[in-house]
Amino acid sequence: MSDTEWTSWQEKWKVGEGPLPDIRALARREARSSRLAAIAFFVLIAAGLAGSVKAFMDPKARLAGGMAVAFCASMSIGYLVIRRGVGARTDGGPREALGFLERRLRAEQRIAHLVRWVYLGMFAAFILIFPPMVRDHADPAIEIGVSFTGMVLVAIVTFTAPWWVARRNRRHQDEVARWKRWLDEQQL
Amino acid sequence: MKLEDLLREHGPAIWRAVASYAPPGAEREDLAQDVMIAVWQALPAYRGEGSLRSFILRIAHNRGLSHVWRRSRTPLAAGEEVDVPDTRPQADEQVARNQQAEQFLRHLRALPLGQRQVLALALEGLSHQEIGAIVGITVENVAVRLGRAREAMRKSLSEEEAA
Repeated sequence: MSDTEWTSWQEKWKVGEGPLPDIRALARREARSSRLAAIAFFVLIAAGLAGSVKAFMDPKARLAGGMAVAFCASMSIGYLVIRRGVGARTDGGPREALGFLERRLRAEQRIAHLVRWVYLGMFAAFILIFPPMVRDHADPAIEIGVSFTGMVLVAIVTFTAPWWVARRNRRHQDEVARWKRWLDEQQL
Repeated sequence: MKLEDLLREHGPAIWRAVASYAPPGAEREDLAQDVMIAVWQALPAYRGEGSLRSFILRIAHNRGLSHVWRRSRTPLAAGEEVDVPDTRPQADEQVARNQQAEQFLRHLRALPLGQRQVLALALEGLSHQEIGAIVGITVENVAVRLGRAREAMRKSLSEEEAA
């Protein structure tokens, strides 16, 4: 191929120019929603911790408060440890993007297991410490009944979390597999 | 670097990268928007390793690949045009040049993705080393793909001329 031809191609290529969209508003919205999601997680944890610490200060509810503090702390530490290294490089290629998706799916699965076992631990401890706590109340049976019902319902949701997270992620895993096949086909 | 400065300096290159993956019209505008957001979000991660141009083009081409992937999985809606002519008022000479450029881009978009990326980056004036770093292949592989891309492009253009 001659240099003249290449120069002519480059000239045609360089002519190509058009208006780019003004994406500032959209980008700001995206950045804000991402920040809000992170803030929401930590606000929830902080609120949980605040309530737990308050209960912990009350001698009558010290054990329950301590248990809730331990739950919040375990969830936060576990979450941070699991999420470590999951982050994506925004300038990375498709294979890196796939790597990120796979890391994220694995992290979600681990978080589901974390929720299952941490909550189960708290639930078991709660069964042991709650009845003596309310023994002197006016109607302990109702308090125990209401509290246990609520906690059993949450336990069902959290104990089955790994199962429904895996079920939800199966579609994404199929998508990752299709992407990989496509990249191989395109020799990318 | 401010977004305004970045657009002034690299906007045309971003536009051309986008044009090598999407035909004119809403599809190209959507992809351009996608690329711009990605560049905006990635800028804080730029540490000055390699040129800013390579950094931005890497993002643009990766987004382009994702776009082609999504497109390949979404059948065109009935009546949806693949190539929409630009109807904005322009001087005759400019119209002719733009038509030639668009025709050239149409041939480029017909190339296999691996060749298209390499040729688009070479036309942008990047060295083989820079292209290799962006695409993630060796310099030798860049040379091979570029040779094949040039050959395919020449064949495609000459076939149209002959028709």
